[in-house]
Amino acid sequence: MIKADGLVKEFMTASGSVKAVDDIDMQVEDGKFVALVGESGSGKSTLLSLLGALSKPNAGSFLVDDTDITRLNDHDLIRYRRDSVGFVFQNYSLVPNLSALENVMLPMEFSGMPREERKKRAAELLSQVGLDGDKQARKPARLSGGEQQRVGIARALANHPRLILADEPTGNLDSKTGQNIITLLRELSRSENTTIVAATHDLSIEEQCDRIYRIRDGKFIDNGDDAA
Amino acid sequence: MDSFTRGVRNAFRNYIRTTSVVIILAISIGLALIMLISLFAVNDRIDSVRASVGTTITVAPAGIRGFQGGGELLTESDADTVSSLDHVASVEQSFTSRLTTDTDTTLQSAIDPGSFGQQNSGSSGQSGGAQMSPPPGASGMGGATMTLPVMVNGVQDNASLQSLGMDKLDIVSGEGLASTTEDNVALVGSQLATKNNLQPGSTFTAFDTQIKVVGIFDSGNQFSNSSLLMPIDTLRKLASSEGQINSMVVTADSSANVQAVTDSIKSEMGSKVDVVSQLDATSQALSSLEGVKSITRYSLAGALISASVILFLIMLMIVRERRQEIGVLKAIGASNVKIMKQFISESLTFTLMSAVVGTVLGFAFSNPVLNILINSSSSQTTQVAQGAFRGGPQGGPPGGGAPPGAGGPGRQVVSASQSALENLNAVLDYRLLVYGLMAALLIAVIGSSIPAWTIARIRPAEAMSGE
Ligand SMILES: Nc1ncnc2c1ncn2[C@@H]1O[C@H](COP(=O)(O)OP(=O)(O)O)[C@@H](O)[C@H]1O
Ligand SMILES: [Mg+2]
Repeated sequence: MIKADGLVKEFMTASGSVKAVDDIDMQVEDGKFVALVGESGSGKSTLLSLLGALSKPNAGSFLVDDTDITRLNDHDLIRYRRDSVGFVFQNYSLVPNLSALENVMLPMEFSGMPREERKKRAAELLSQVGLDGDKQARKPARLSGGEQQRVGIARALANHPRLILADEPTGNLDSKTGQNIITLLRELSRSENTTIVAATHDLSIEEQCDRIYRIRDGKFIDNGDDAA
Repeated sequence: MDSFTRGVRNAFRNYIRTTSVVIILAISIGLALIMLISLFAVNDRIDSVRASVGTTITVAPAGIRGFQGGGELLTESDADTVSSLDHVASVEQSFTSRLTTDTDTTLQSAIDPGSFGQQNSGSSGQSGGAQMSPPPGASGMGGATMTLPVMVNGVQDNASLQSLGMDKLDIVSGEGLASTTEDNVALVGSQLATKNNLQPGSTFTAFDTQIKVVGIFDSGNQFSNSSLLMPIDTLRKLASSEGQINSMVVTADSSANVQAVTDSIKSEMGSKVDVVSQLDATSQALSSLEGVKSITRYSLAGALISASVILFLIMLMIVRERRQEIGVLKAIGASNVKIMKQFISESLTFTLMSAVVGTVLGFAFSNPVLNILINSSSSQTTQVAQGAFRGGPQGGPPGGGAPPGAGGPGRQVVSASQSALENLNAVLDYRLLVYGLMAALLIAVIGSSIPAWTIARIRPAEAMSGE
């Protein structure tokens, strides 16, 4: 279970301070697939970066299995990002001069897995997301958007994270491909009992998820209690 | 695939950039290498000039050279004073005399006066210093039958060639002189021996005394081969000059201390003596070399600094360009150290590729550059060095066909200075490769240290930027 309590993230800008995330409470059971829905600039990405410990909140706490992530030291933060969280980005964010396989191997390298082992697991993961054979050896530029996002998902899954954070994972894809990506995430969360939090304004995601948080100006205007 | 190999591969992400970086860096590194090569060549040459100068310093009574001039001879107590100075390894006294018919010798000079000897006879006769005595019955000026005096050197140790103006001393027959003897014995130069039909065991008369020949020597030059060596105490006794010294040759404990010893002798003995080290004559050559050395030092530092700055700017540019990628790596669990390693290995790759190209450039251009560096100073220095040795410190009596200073250490030093700047060739040395590699590493480390600091400051949230 993950549980956010009163999370606040404030940015100082030229025109004063902006509360991108303003007193957010949320609680998600393990294995659930929840969506953050809101317009551009509503604070979805900022909230995801707090949940993934990519940045520190100005206030509030975030518990992952009773560990308060906001209180971890730098070393433990690196471990948290590496071992507990998988990130999926809108623009895939693959390393361009590494092959699909090598991209998926990266998080396992950071966690110290032996080379042969991580190569084997990366190949399995890529097959699992539907990338086989010579496509695994291709550089990202020679894969379609949907294929690149599959690599991104395989990379996010590499270290068996308990939480996957996806920031508009279908934002750059056509609706059919996006649909397939969502289905893939959905299935994975079921089979691995992984919690998924996805920011989106894709209606098809909304249809498939367990719960929807609607966000505006950094605040939840609907925490989806009805849908839960 | 780890941080290191990723860094190497990243160095080739952009071929145009990689090529430009390598070319620019290679020029700096090549320049640094040329300067390093020059520095080594010049250093070696400075060492060899110093070594050719040796560690000896000649101390002569002020105003007296050979048998010319006037003043007081030095004494043994002066020699003691000098030996007690710092950095003085040894003091070799020498006492020189001439055998003419006046001192009643049976020896005939082996040297044909020639036109040079005749000339000197005429001019120096007026200045009061009798250079040579016409034999009885000679017709004086322009006389074809005049003879030259025979030089006798009193020595403490027949190995001290410097004080005798000899290159070498080979005993061709008989034996050498025992250094402590006061016997009436002599070592005879090979030409003098031939002229007078002397062998080891023969005797001749000098200073009204029977002198026994113990050996015949060959010094490699005619002037010395026409002279005699006798134990210094024997010679002083026979010449009634006990305790006197014509000159002494002081040996410093190292060539680096020659200057210091020269200075302390000067301050200790004052105007009573003339102190000449061969360093004086080579100092021009040395100062030119030192000049070239400091140019190369500064250029070397400049080339290394510019290489570091170039690499630093490029790495900074690359780090900035990959901010988001670095953020992503952090977001998926990379530590700062892992990312820094990756960038350091990338900058090492640039540096090593450039070092290879730069080495080729460096060796191709080191000789031409070295020539340009030294060309202008070379001829000038040679003239100065030669000038300084015209009639060098050991320039014995003029005459006898031997030009002043011939065979003396002066000749060697002039040629050493001459070649000091000519033929200064770049040589491949293992030290160069070691230093070169160290320099390349240094450049890579300096060039990536500040970019590495930038890496540490990139927030993982940068991964989200641009979405
Ligand atoms: N690094 C930042 N510095 C300043 N303002 C920021 C920063 N990141 C986000 N913001 C602001 O915070 C608000 C929320 O942004 P974001 O979380 O990216 O929204 P979303 O992902 O829903 O489009 C916006 O007003 C945005 O301008
Ligand atoms: Mg966003």
